[in-house]
Amino acid sequence: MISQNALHHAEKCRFCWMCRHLCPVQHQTGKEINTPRAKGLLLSMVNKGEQSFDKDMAQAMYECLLCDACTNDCATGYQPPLFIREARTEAVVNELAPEAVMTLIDNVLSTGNLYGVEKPSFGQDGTDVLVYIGEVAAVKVPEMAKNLLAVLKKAGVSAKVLDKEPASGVMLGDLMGYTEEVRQQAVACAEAINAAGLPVVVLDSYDAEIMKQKYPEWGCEIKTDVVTATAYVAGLLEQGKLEAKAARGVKGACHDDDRLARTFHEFAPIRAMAKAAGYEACEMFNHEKLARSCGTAVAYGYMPQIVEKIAASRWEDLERVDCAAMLVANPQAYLCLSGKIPEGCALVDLFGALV
Amino acid sequence: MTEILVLCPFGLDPGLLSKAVELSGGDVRILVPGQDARAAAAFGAGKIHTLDQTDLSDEAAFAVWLSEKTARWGSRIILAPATVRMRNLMPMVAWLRGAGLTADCTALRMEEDRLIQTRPAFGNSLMADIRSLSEIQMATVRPGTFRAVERPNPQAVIQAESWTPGGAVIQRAFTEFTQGKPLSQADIIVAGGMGVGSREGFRKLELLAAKLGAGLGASRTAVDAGFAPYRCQVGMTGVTVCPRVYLAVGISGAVQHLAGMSGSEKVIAINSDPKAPIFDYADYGIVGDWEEIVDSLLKEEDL
Amino acid sequence: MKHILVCIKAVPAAASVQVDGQYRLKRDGVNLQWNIADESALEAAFRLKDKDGTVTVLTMGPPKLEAPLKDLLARGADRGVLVTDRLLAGADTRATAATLKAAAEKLGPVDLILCGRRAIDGETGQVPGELAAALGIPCVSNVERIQREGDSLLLSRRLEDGIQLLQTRTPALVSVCEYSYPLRLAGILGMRRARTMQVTLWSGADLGMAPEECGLKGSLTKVIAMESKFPGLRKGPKETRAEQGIAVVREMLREVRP
Repeated sequence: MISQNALHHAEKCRFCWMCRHLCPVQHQTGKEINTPRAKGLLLSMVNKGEQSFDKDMAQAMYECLLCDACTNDCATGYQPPLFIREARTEAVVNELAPEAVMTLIDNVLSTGNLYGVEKPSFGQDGTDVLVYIGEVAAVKVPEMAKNLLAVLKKAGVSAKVLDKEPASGVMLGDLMGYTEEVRQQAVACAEAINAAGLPVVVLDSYDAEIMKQKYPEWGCEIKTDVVTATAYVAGLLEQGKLEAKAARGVKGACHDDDRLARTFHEFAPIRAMAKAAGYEACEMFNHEKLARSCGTAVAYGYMPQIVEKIAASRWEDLERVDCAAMLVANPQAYLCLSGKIPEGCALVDLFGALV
Repeated sequence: MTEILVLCPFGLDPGLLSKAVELSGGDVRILVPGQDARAAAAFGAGKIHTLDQTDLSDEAAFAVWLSEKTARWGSRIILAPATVRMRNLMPMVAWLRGAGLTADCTALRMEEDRLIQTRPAFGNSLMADIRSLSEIQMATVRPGTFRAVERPNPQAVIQAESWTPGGAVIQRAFTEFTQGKPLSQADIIVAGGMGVGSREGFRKLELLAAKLGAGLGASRTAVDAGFAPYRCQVGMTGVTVCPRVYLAVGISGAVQHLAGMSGSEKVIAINSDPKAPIFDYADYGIVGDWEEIVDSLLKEEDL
Repeated sequence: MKHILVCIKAVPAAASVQVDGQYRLKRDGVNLQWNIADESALEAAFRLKDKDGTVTVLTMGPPKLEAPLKDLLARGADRGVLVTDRLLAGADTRATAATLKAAAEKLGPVDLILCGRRAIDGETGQVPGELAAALGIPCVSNVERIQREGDSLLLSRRLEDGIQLLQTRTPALVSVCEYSYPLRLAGILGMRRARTMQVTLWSGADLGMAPEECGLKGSLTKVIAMESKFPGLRKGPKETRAEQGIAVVREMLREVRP
């Protein structure tokens, strides 16, 4: 059952076709059904009874990164991720979601993360800030987590990491829309964070988004400040608590991840970090609010081939401006981009570059 | 002129009593706790009924008693302060008496024997004039709306009443708020709206409030956005305030908010939008960046 | 609690509210959402009901509320009732309470009625009291916490100057504050269950109500005029130079500070 509000967004499309030119999934698959406007049209037809919500349609709803590039550029102010998320709920309720998606949902529901494993412990019990690592960094990109903790230590910040860090709910929310199951994860996560009573530094901007935007709406607000790790580290640089590195003589471009780019509009901090890490600053053609997604951990989990192609096209963006270093401060971006690194290029974890 | 009955069983509202005296040409009957009887006479009440009963928690039963009493007293206009308890009691009395009731009025006037009740409506800048179609006309009025005027009534008659609670609802405990003065009694209020933009922004307002010995207020949208706790909310769904100075920072001035602060002695507005409605309701306005202004106020040593 | 009735109201989602020529709120073509305090009432009901108990949600409004009511069934309500009838349009709080009373009586005995303490559109908060008086049951307003204690309820009620802890017999009507119990979302299982459920639709006649008892005709208050002016216009001077502005503000603050 798609909400009135979501349908309103689906019906608002006036078929200007502009979103077609920036949907990273459509770019790779070339399928018309992958455009945001096609998804809106499909749901609108379902609503009018002209089409049934079947397995193919469910599949189409998952061929999307929820990167929000379409919303950012939509002339009518319409928000495809809003109805795509609800369509995913519909798919799960009606048992039409792709099998690979269901496996991930089962993993998150049983273990609290996409990978169905126990999150490693970071053994940090500091007193200044609570660092929320998130499952992608903890399981797949632990170096980035350790590098962030090392940067904080270097700046004299005493960091705590929750021993059994609960899921923020962001992964489940992307997999099946905002249902009570997601909210329950959010409630448990907020409780654990509030019990620590420290300002929260969030490594993965995707986690930061759900904490800052959805938690208050769901009645489980985090009582302390929630800041992205990038903004926090840039603040430490500004306060002179971290030393800048010597110039490396390497041209690097920052990759703005989907959430920093389009939810938080946070652009300066990663650039300040890149500068302090000694990189010669460069910009890719699609940057800041227009940054092209390089994939997400959730999508990588159920459609790895497509995400690999998307990541490869982000690498092309880098090579096009004659850069050698892809500068990244998000574990999901790091994960997706690390699949195939072109020769002569380097994938740089900005936290690591500041250690 | 028509007699007006003012129900204040939990404590006198001198402002409301003064308004009733003015509207009725001095013909006011009132119900107050015994300790407020003298004050009621000082503010012009003529027939004073006193009730000394510590537990009035069984409000449904108390409403039955009130509707019987008010029927016997015969007043056709019944007013009460819009406190939490009276806002619960008045609808019950209205139902039992078959009367129309208007909530939270911000102005009252008489047109012959009809009471015209004015209240903000529908969230935008509309004020509705409402008339009761029933014989008995009832309204609640936000405390702080009208100024109290002393008009001693030497002919005042005091009569003691009694009521025995039925026991369906009993009060087991009462915890008084201790966090300083309630917002409704603050001399200065620093209040923020959506324009303040964040919880961090409100922290600055809090610092300024602390520096001034002021209370912290907020608009409903700012509370909804999580910038400030609900207890700070000023307006129709929050508290009504009448401080000596109300400093409105980044508040656009929705009618619901204005309804909660328009009784302030002086209003100062700071907003970056020169067209914000709040400026029309301010004694002094600064068009500009609130943060710059608050920062420099915070820096002043001798503020 | 075997049977809890929750009265819930759909209110305009945006602040862009319009009125018709008779000063009645236009509800057609406006996006509606459930009143926030009423959502808290529903969540409280979910927490208070027995395992085998029933939560009924009752609303009054246009037919298009059927889908949003189904969403409440997905969130866990056991029955949804929509009283919908052109005759009910333009009801003041008294006519609304009369309709809700008739519907509540038709639903049979309840242990508890929960409402939000007020709706964000009209903001009168009068319906709970009028409904309780109509049904002749105890009524406690402005409640933030509800606990069961045997057959009674323990209620934390927010007053201007403190928190009252009250004990009430049941059946009773309790109106709760917004944000006191954030409403749960719909879960996957709940949504599957709701697919098989129907919303009950009642007209005024189904409730045995005569036309003169309901809607605009059954109302005892009438809006006679509306204007966009608000009392308290001051129109003081506006300063665009920060420094000058701050100097004046400093003086104004000094005047009131000891």
